Amino acid sequence: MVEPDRSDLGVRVAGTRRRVGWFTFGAVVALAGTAAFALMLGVPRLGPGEVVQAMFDPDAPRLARIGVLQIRAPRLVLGLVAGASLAVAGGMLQTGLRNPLAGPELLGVSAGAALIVALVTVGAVGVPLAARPALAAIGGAAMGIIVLALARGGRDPVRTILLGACATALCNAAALVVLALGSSSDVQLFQRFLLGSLTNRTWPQVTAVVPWLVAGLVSAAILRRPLATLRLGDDVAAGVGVPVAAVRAAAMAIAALLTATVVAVCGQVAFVALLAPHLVRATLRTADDRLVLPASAATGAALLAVADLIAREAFRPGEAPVGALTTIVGGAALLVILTRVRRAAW
Amino acid sequence: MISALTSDASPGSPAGATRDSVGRLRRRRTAVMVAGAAGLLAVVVMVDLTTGRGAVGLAEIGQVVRGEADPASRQIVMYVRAPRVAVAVLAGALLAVAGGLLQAITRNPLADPGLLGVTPAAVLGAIVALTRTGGSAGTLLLSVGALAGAALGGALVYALGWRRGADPLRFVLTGVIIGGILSAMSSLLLIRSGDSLGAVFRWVIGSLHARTWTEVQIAGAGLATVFVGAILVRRPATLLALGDDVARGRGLSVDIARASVFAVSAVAAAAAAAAVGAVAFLGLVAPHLARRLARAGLGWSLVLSAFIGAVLLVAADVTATTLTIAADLRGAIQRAVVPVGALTAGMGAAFLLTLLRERRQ
Repeated sequence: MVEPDRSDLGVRVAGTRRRVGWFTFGAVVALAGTAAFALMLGVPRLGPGEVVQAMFDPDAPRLARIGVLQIRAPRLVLGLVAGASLAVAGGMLQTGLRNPLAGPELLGVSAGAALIVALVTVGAVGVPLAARPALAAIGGAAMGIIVLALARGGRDPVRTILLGACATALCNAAALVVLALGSSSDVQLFQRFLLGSLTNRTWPQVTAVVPWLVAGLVSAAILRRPLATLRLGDDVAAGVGVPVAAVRAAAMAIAALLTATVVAVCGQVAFVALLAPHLVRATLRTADDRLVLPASAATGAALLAVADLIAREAFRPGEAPVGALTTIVGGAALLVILTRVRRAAW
Repeated sequence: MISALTSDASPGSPAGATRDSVGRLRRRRTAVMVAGAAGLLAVVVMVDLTTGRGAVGLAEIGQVVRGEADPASRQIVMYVRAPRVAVAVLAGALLAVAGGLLQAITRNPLADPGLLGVTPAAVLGAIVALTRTGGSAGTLLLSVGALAGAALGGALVYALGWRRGADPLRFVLTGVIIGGILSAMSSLLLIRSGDSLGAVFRWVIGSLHARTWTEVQIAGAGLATVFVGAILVRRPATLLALGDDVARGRGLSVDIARASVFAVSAVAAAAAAAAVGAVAFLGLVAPHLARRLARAGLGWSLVLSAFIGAVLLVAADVTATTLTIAADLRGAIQRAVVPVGALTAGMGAAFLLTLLRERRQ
């Protein structure tokens, strides 16, 4: 617009571009490294050559082939896609609600979805695996709307999280009763619905949810431009012709779908959604969602895949539920964010 | 709300006769409420004693008391139901007192040992004591572990969440997050040690299933300690509830007073946690109901909320046991147990939701 602004803008954009370059490089290295280790580690431990052989050579040792193709690969794919989906959901909620502490796990969305999944699973209702995410999304969205309605749109971060924590406690209590009544004393179920775990997930579960997640991610990509405008304030966004209410509703619906789909197979993996966008904004030093959302997807994918690798390998014999790890690390990070939010005087 | 904690009418005050008669009315109301709560407790205890697997009703319990019962009924009453009910009464009272004291010193009606991370920390301490000893920790070691956990966890939340003039909601939020982290650690330890879902329920959710006289001892010793402690810290706690400046003006050394009241509250929360696990929200609900029912001084308010807490936990246990038996009758393959903590969590969360809504308006 005005002449002197340009140089300033140029410098800033150049800085951002450089950071984006480094970030992309780092993300590619991290994702490739995580994928490589996820396929190599475990029993039997394989070298890079053996992994490639197991993947492409039908005459490779049977154990290695099953280990890589049937056990490690689906779990890796699920971890990556689920992490990316959660992170994008978190980023969209934070921008859509203009609340830095918005996250599906803090708004009751995850717990609402988990309750529906627990009901469907334990009640043995004849719902095909592929349709469960849609049901879960309804539960998650309903819970999120209730919490936001009680919290007056969720602008006050602290009150919103407290209400969300209450809603989560209510849903989890109900889910627990359902689980206990469902006659199964299986720790797996507890991990699956309440803590979040990727243990023993194989291709059927992956193929049931990946279409939903891809659809959600694509819609998020389409929506990221108008969503980025919301950060400037509702008035400005409306002024440049963005249908504010519709964009906000769409962002929340997509976030609920993404979260609920992940919850349907992995349980309530906490804090990936909340944390990834914050890491990205701090690293790239921008809040522009056209950059933040894709970068969050990469970060979330790496976070969840690495956390799952640790949960899988560091606790041998046996495994830890990945959700417990993300809660411990993410909770600590949330405390840090909380002190910053206080300083920023919302 | 806070004024309810401090409405000890002093006859020597200038307001004179009217205040005196108001005070007498209030005391009478408090006495009625305490008596009512005690009566209600007796009723729910009888109901809980007659609820459970096996056909043991009031008649059989009477026989057990007179020593005429057959061995099977005796076994059920003395080793299954009586310890369960006794633990429920004691733990409910402990949680209520822990919550009431915390609410007084933080001047925050949302304070609760579970919400503020004290109970999850106590549970983590108890589990560490258990896993370190390969599951053979005795009563004493378990209690010490829970107490150490409660003290450390409470101090952590206090250090991170409490700044002078800080928002009470934010304080609670810090506790909720730290509590979440700590209970994730507990789940991790339990799952690592290869325990069943029952163990997770028992500690992380809170359960009254399969309680023995050991837990009764822990909770009983805890309640006795807390009773003495609460009498000792009653005055400083009342003053702290009025505000640090007032307390200082009356010659109280605020930090020491706050620490000692907190210590009593932590003992209560730790004993409850060692006995029943992380039963949530009772410490929030019971003192609140007590304040609504009667405007008494802190001491009687705590007594009333202890009875209410006991009634609530026993009633929750009746519900949980009934649900469990209903599931059994429906032909469940494995024995399911509804953890009582899930019921109190549901009840408490609903209560907190309405509370937050009310405060908004």
